[in-house]
Amino acid sequence: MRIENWQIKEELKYDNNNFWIEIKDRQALIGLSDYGQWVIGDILYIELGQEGAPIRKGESCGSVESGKWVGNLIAPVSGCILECNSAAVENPRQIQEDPYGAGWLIKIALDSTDENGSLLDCASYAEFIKEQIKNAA
Amino acid sequence: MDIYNPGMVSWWESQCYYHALAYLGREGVILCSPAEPYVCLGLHDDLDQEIDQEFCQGARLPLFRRETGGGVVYLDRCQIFYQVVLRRENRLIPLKRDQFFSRILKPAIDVCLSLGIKAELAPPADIKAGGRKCSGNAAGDIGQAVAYVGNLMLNFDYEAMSRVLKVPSPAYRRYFYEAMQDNMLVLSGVDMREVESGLISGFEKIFGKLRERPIDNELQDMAISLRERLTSDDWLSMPGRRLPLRRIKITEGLFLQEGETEEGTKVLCLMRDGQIEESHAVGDSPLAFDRKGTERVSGASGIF
Repeated sequence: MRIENWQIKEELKYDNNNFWIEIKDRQALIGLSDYGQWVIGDILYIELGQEGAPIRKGESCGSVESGKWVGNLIAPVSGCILECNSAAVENPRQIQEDPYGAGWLIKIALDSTDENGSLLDCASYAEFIKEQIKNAA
Repeated sequence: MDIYNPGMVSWWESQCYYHALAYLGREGVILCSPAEPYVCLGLHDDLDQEIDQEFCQGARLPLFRRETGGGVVYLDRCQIFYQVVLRRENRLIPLKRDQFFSRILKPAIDVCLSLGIKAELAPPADIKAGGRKCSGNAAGDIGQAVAYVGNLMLNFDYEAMSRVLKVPSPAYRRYFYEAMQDNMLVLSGVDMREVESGLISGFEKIFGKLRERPIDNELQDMAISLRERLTSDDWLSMPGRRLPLRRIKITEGLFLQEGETEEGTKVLCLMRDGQIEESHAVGDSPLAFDRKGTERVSGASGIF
């Protein structure tokens, strides 16, 4: 599905910090959505949490810098970091060129599946983007 | 919108008040200058790579790591800071945070124009006049707020700035010093009060009439507690971006970079907008580097 210039993948879940989340067997693969990477702009540097570290939904799991702006990456689910995408850290351009593929950010072992219900499906996320665009106009 | 204009404050207060506003979820504009010089790292700067800590210790220059972007800066009383804190839900903030610089830097640009300096935005966040930088700026999401911070330089201590940064050789330091002098501009001879009132009227055009407020107890207490964290050894030593070869940003699009040609000759390159503007061969000798006298390397496209 496309909303304006941005691709949204129907099989993924999303949150309102513009992360996509792919959940399989109590593990979550997480990255920035196409719209999310556009909002951030030209990413110069990205820092992700340590592998093995616990993260809590709503708390920082890393930070990103683009064009003299820095912001926190807010974890969409709780769990323990299994893996960080070192290639994306090394070359943040990957996040912008292939946000749903080579630009993934972290893999998490989920604490539970209770939080999954609060994530957005593709249609709800599309509405969220439209609302953001409307409010910014 | 509130404005806090405490004038000259201590070095740490010049950073902690805007962090405090942000963490308290309060909006406001702050104008201030630090009474003492200090060195301020961006959130992602790597202390060990960037800073000559021995020099800073010897010169009694305190260190601070801010929660906004950009690189290391030397700050002192000859600079006037403007700091704007807005809650994230503020409708003035565009979707792309960096697009707000063009609006938030208008007051500083107008101050320069009123002084006869043909200043303009050098995206994303520098202000330049005649290609020379006269203001540095940065932004960051802090707590539930967004902070935009910057300065106008009434004078600049190039010598101190060139000493504060860790560099690979005396030649590099000298070249850095010269490149800053060539590419930066200060608003010398300008009255600080005049700059302040220009900034206030500029911010009133964006936010409407500003209410002047003193630094209150809540703000002061939060600033004091943040000082401890933002100057702690753990926070300052947090690892950041590292590059294999030393590269220092001088202004937007302009970098001084060390490199090596394919033949193994060490070179210093001034890179503008991704292109080599100047390159000079340098030896290992600690002898003073003479930029005019050293051999210019043609086609220096080796290892960078």
